Amino acid sequence: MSAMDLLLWSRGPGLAIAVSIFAFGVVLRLFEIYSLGRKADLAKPRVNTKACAGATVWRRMLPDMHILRRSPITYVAGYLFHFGLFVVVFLYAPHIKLIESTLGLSWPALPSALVDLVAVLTLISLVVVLVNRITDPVKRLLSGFEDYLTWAVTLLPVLTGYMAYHHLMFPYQTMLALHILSVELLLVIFPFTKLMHAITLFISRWYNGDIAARKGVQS
Amino acid sequence: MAKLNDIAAIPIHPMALPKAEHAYQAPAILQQLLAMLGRLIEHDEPDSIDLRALPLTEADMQSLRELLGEGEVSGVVTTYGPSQVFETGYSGVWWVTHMNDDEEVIGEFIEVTYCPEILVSPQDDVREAREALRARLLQNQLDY
Amino acid sequence: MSEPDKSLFDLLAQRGVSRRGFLKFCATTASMLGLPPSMSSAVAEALTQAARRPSVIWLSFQECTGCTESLTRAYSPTIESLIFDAISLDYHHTLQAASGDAAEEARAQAMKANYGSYLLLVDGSIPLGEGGAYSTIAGHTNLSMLKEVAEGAAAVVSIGTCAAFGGLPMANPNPTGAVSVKDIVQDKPVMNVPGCPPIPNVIVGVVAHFLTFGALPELDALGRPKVFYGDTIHDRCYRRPFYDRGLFAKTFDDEGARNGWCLYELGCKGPTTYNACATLKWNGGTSFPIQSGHGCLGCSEPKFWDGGGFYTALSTPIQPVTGAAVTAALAGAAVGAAVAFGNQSTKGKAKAAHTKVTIDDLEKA
Repeated sequence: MSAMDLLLWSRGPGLAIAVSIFAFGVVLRLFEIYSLGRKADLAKPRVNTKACAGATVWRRMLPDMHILRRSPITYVAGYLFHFGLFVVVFLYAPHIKLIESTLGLSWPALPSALVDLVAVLTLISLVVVLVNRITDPVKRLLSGFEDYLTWAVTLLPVLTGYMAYHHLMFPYQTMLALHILSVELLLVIFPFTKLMHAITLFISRWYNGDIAARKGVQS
Repeated sequence: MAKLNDIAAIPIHPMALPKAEHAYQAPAILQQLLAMLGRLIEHDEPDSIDLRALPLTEADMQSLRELLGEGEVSGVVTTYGPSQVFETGYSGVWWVTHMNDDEEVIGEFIEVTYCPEILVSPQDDVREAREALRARLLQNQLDY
Repeated sequence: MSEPDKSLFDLLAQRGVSRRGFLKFCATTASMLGLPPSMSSAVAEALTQAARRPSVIWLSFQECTGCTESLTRAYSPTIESLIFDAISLDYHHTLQAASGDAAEEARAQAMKANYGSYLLLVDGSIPLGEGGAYSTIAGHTNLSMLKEVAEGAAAVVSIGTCAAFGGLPMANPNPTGAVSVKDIVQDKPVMNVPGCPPIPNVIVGVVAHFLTFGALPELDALGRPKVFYGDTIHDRCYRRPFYDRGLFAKTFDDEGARNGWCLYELGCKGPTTYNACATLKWNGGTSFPIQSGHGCLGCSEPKFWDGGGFYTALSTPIQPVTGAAVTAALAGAAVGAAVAFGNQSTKGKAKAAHTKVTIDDLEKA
């Protein structure tokens, strides 16, 4: 199998398979979560709980000084790589083109050189959180196979993308194919691991904000 | 067929040549020339750049010519098609353009050297010239 | 025609080319071979050796003659004509004067006289379907002719993407069962010179390399000469700075297109295509597709016909994924509903099995 065959497979059948498993898994998980159901709260809420729930979803994206002081490494590196992933995934021209061709949505891209810099910062942050996870005794105790797996499949697309862009190790075709395959791996395991938090965080924050507002406390 | 005849009526708007801002490569080549001059002075090593092996735009070539300028020496070597040679404004930096009999460019180089080899008389030619001149003089003596 | 034991230098001298002319010839030949200027003296040395004047046999199989058209338009004719004076093109059924039995006779003679030392150039792919009946020459299938001629060749050069990688005939669904030369010839050095067609000066350059140094140049993993196929179009493209700055033409006649911005979004395959178009260019160094405003099709790469649309960006899927994704999501919903039903019934059963515990019960225990 030549590099071109691999690239064509990753851009064709491979992508279709990965996206299908992703869509299947995500919908399945959401059905599972929602169908558990909760009893209707018949008490009259004190305030507009929907607005509070929305505010909580937003507020928890913002840095909290208290937690920052308590575990600065997790916090700064964690923020940095999440922000970096957002920039690298959604503001790089070829990625936007991919989204446009599948969803029809498009927006302006950042200069490639800037995205390149952000990719480096993202990679560094990811390495920092891993080292921190291994060296910190508490975190190491709490970590299982799934934590390392999700870390690796998050790192791989960024790393292979960076290497493809800079023509490192393999010819561009091979590296681009590996990059696309690594993203497909991410899509496949996404619904069935902790990575699902990228979707469920909105549900859980909304629920927390809503329940807290009913009780008249800030969340 | 009517469509084909209408082709001439389609307006053609020639695009302007890429502007000078498209000349990204010229500064890099100047850097390279600087290093080559250093090697020529310190180690007596001539070197050259094959301009046609580089992805240069028209604007790159133009700005390179303007940046280097023209020096005191220029000439044409007529062998196997004309070759234009001139020293640029920077001594030791020569611009050599080889053309074939149809005056198509078949090679374009910037040479960093005290004198491009194509200008120097080949030793074998000089020896043959001495023989030829001798023979000529001998012939003349016989004639008189 | 030259006598076989003379060097190319002698040949040039015979034509009245001076020593300065020879110097110039070597400099421009090195440039044509894609060698650095410092290799000019190596070229000169090789050319003053006794001339190899190999017999060249050119076989055309499932092809469109575009590669031959390209070759005959090599743009610096004085050099190429001299190079080709130094070879003996003994069989090329489009270019040779002889035809029919006489042509085949010429091929047989050339093979016999130069067995083991002739250079075989091939354009076009080889059909294997229906016993090779899709393409025959003088009653021979392409397969049998290639095998027969390759047997006595010193080296084989696949000219064009069809010979090198199967090209258009091999594109899905490959009705003729076409394969590349390399799929057939495995016991000889085979060099691929892909492109649809290859750049004329690349064809001449690689042949000249064989004539000059008596061996094939250094090849990459796909058997292509590195000097010409070492970089991608994208890396050597004069529009590359626009890619880096994120400036893209969105249509073929918008402001970006007029300003010469990057054609990535219009489907340019430059990033995955290894060829020399961006440096050597076409038509006597006049231009190349991207310079004239059209994206690269990737014609020198395997399977370029099956790599998705010519006008869709490289990062987009080759086949639509939306249908599969929607089907999968619906399946997910169905399975999810089943799971939900199961969970609800578990919950219902738990509720039904639930009995209240009273103080009395506790006191009893």
